[in-house]
Amino acid sequence: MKSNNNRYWFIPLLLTAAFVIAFFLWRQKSGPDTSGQTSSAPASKLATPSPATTPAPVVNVTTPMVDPIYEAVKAEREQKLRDMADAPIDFFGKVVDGKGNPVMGASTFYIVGSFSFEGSPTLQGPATDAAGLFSITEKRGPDFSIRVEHSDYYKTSSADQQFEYAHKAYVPGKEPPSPPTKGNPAVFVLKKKGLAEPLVHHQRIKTKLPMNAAPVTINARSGQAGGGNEVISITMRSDGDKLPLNTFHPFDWSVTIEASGGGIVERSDALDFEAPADGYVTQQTINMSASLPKDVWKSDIQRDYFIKFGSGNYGRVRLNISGDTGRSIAEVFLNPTPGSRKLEFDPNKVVQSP
Amino acid sequence: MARCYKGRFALYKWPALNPAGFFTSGTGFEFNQSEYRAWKYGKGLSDFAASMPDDYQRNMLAHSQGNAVVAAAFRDYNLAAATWVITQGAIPISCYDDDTAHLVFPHTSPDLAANMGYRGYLKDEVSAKVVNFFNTRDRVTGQRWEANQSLFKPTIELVGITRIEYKHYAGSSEVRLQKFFNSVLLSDRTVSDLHESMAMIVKSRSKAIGQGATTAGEVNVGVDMYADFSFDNEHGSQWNRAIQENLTLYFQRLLDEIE
Repeated sequence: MKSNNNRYWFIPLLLTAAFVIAFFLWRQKSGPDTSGQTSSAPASKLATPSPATTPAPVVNVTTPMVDPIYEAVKAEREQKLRDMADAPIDFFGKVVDGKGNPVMGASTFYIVGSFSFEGSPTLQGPATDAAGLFSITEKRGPDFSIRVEHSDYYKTSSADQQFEYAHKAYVPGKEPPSPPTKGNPAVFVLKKKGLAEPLVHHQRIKTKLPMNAAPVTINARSGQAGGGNEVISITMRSDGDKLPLNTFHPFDWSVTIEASGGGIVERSDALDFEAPADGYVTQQTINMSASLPKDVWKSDIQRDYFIKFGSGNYGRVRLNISGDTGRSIAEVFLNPTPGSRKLEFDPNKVVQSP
Repeated sequence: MARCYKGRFALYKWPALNPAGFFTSGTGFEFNQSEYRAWKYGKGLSDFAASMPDDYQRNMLAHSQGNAVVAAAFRDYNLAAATWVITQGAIPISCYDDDTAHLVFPHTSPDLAANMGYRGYLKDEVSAKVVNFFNTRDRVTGQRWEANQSLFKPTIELVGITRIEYKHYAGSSEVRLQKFFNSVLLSDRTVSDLHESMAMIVKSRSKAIGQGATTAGEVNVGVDMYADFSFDNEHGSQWNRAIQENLTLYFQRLLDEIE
């Protein structure tokens, strides 16, 4: 008997070894993976004080096993996601002009939102009826985008809207507008086009502004640099060229815009096409001091102006100016008829500059 | 006449998991893990940029979650560059602009970067001109990204036989990682790495920068991809469309910004 017991002395040892190996393999599988971590950042910026070494999050996703808590959370989250993706959409809209009159025959285009990276297709909806009303119903998705168009009207900012249909919990006081209903439709405003007169048009005049206050001039009729009495002059002073290479921070710069022999007035409404009769100033200077609050200081500006030239002609210009590079891009319109303040643009009525 | 980019071009990739499938796993783990990796790979980007000739102007362009790489490179790893162009960025507005006006979601997880959240992460930390190409029509940085923040954080995942569970407790800025075997707690630690906290735990209270039409703070210039280039609700018009399809204006503007 004693000799038989001695024969199996190694069995407990083998079992112990097998357990150790199994435990080791398990730890390997569920242990931290540093493949997503190249190095540690400075502790002062990334970490709160911690006495323990911080392992990286686990990354190797292996075949999941059943874990009731995990499965319950997963199922709950997936259901919420499905609910979002499948929210019912019944949309009602009304199209009016600037005076509140219904616009009949406006085209509608809509997108039922999805979670796709490729987006969803744009679909054509029904045209508006005599009351300016339309509806698109029995759709499902997290959100709904809609735009309205009419060839006789300009689109205003409200002609293109998005609505959330999935549950979205915004902070109190900032709730998104409730989805429109049949009795309270979403309102889209279009602005009636006027009668456009022939205009000289230069779509993109790009110039490099010297930063030492040497003026750059743009002849509104030719679109070229040069003089005359239909000239827009831009003068820049900037410390932008003093920034060290690969460094950027607020710097002092200013730009002055003027019209030769005439004046300018800022245009605040993109759909206002008639230059005012008065209110012009000879020039406007925009100062960007490095000491301005960060949210006020800008490196780039965009401005729209009506212009009354010394020739008696009117025009308008949209300027996009960068204070750090001196880049200036101008889109210029000029009515060649002296005294006419009408500056509505029709691409089919462009006058070639002489 | 068509313009071309005149300069040298370098590409930096990080090992993201498959963000396109970040809803297929049901837990958002892949998207969150990819964000974590993105923050960490800022170091590699910064080192890579530093290895280039220092007499060149460096212009960075990052798409979507790639902006986490660039953000971390600037803030945590001393990247030096002249310009940072963000296209449809998938990190929170509040990283760039800490104005409370951007806080439109009522999540209770930590908010400020000082408390392991997103807000103010980049405040006074970016020494480049930041140009934000946003697209409020893009549903990936819109509803999809917001759903991930809302539904799939804090991260929970099953790895092998271990359940990893990130946690935070309402009213506390403490964030934790616990590991379980069924109900048996295997380990429990405080999360002290801001990158890990942001990616795995914190729900952004602001929208993504790709939706940020009015972002200020660290953002110097905003460019509306829908209004200016007719990009619609897809996440990668500039990559997917043929060059003839309204891309000229986009590339022209891009070149304007990095010249």
